[in-house]
Amino acid sequence: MTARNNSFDEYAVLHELKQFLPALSPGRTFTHRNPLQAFRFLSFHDALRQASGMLGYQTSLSLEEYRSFYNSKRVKPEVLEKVLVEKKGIAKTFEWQDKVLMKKFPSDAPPRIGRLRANWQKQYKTDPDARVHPRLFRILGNYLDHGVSDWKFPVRGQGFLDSMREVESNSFVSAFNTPRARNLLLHTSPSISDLLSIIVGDEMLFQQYLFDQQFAHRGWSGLVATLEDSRNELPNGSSITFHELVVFELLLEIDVLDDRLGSHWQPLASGLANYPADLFAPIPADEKSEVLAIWQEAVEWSYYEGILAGLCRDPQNSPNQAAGYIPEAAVTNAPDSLCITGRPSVIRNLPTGHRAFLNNYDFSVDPDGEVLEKILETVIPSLGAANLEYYFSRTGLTDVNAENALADQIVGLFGMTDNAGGDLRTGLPAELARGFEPMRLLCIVEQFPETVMKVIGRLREAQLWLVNEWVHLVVADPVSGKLSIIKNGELIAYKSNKRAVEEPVH
Amino acid sequence: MFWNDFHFDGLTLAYLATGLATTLLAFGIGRSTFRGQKQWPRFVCTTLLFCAGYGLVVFSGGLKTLLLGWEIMGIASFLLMILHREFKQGISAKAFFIYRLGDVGLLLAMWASHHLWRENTTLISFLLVATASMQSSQLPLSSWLPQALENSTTASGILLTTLTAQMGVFLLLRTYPFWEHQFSVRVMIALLGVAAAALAAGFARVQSSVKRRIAYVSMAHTGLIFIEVAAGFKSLALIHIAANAFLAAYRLLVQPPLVAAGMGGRTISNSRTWEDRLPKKLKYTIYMLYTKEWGVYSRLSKYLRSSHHLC
Repeated sequence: MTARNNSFDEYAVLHELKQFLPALSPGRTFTHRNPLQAFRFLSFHDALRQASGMLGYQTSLSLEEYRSFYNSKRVKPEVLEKVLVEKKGIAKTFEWQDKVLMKKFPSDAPPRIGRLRANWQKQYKTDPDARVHPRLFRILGNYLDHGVSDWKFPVRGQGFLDSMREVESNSFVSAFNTPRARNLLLHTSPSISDLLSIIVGDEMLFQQYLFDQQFAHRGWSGLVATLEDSRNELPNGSSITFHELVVFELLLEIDVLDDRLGSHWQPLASGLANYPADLFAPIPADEKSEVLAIWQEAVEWSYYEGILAGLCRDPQNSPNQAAGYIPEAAVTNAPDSLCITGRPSVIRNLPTGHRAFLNNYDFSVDPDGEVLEKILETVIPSLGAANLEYYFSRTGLTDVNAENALADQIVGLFGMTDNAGGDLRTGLPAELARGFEPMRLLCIVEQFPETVMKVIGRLREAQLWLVNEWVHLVVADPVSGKLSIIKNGELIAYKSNKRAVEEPVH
Repeated sequence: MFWNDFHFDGLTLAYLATGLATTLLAFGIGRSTFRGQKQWPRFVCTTLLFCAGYGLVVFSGGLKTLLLGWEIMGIASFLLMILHREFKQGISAKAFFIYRLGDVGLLLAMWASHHLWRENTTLISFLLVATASMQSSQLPLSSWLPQALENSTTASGILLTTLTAQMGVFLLLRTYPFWEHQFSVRVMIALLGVAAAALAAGFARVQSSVKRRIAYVSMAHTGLIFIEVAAGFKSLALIHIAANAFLAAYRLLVQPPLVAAGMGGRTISNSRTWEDRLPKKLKYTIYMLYTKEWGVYSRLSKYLRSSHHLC
């Protein structure tokens, strides 16, 4: 038993959990971090599938929406065909075209997160969250308040649990309804595993239980985790750690279960016939996820095509042809989806109407790519994160839909809540993301392909972004003008779809 | 005679003016929120229905007309609360009945006024006061307003706080001649007002959620208005109602900005309040009591929450 006790390292688990939580900071919904940070070691489409199956995130648009893009010609048929050929080979293109355009897929299986804790409902017909959340959010809201309430939390300058202890020991009214949880707080300094052995029992399930519990309010947890990491003091000089939040929530859970079920409850694991599937096990690719990935690529390349076609053009070309692009280019309004690193002549070739981040960079003075390395190392993680923030706000990562956003409200001046459950909002409001297509960042670099490959090999943080295709990188050869793109970590020549160039689709 | 059912006096005028101003305001806000969305027609229709009900109530000359308007306004208020939601899985009737519980009192009062007119005026007054108290989010079902405000859009919130919640006072003022000489009723109204004002003021002071705070501030003021009505200061009550309505509307419209990241500690004044002078035990006790909202909130929200899960 003792040997297994060591297998659950609560600080390691909390550290991992933090990677998954949104990096919400007070007063901001924009986090400047990849919303799928924890999945960054996977390639983009695998990460989308994994996040969706594991955490229930909405990581892509619905099939209907993609198909409506196709019908309205925002996804060009020839681009879709090209993506199909690339992904499935010519032989299977026809078969997959049918799947992509027509096939009806069953709705997704419920996500893995929350399955373990759903057993409270199954076994005891009680949902601890329904009672714990309002109390927890109320106390947390008051504790973290940045200036809404007139009467601030009465204990200042201490940690969260110490503050609660101070109030509990001196107040005639307790935050708890039953004695056990109160005594645990007042007379012991319980560790997470102590409390989990009361609530869950089996150590195998501890980690999954914590994930379930914290993801039921990922906004609040993310905020507390960020507050802890940034070591920002709260206005009243207090502080809070993620560990304290988890301990307090577990105490409240014990309180609610004691209150509701008296002594008639056992640790959750004791009544489980079979354990739920491992939260972290890889989620296999299925037809639907592949179809969604194909659609996403088609949407992106329909947009990129016009830009790249413009870049391919000879600068000395007649201005008439360039003028032909204006109406087409002005259509797309995906923010933060284009970044160009090159000489002004390259930048000038950009079709009008696109907003791009421009870095002036001369390949000839940087033969070893040292400057480029610095640029990419800075630009890709920051722009990529900003871009993905829009991307996942558009797909509605956490099911924050417009109807909820209409009833949002400010809590403690540090965050917004917009649903009946009372969690803090993460990601951008849906109305900001409405009207554009989710689109990964396209980075265009003017440099020789061999140099770029060397630079990528030397990159640190940005390397994962590029190799796993969280960002598209297009290399424009400054001499031949040929374009190549990174696919699966290798550079391959990019063939422009000439038809798309000559017949701009409106 | 049809026209006998309507009545126009200073009270009508005051309510009409306040109502008109805040409805236009809410409509303007709703326009900017809902325009171009699928809820827009729903919003327009509901607001019109609400106005019709409100008009009927303020112009009513008898209990029957008043009840008709009251019901229309009640339904419209409920529709305003759920305006922005989707009803794919249907909506629980339970929430609706809790919100509309107050009408039972009015119905009973009407029935009683027909049958027991001479015998038991206190009972009728009591029923009227109960209805008014419920409508104005006073005790005992005092938490409908914070609940409703929290879960509705700003435009609906303005109508609910400024108009629906003030109708209870209207009912009291309209039936004023009826209970004017019943001392016990006046004491009861005043006590209700005192209790609600004391509770709500405390809730508002420790509240960290902006919308709930607005609701509690409005509720505390309504409590004061109840006292004024009971004391017979009708004009003062009318001024207070209008002031309270506009204050609530202003607060809902101009919500405070979120803190700038990283600046939180420095920008916000952390001045001590008079509560800090209380002895520690008393201070913590009162704080916890108000933070838990005396359990009033959790009890009602237990019923309403089930409906939120459904929608």
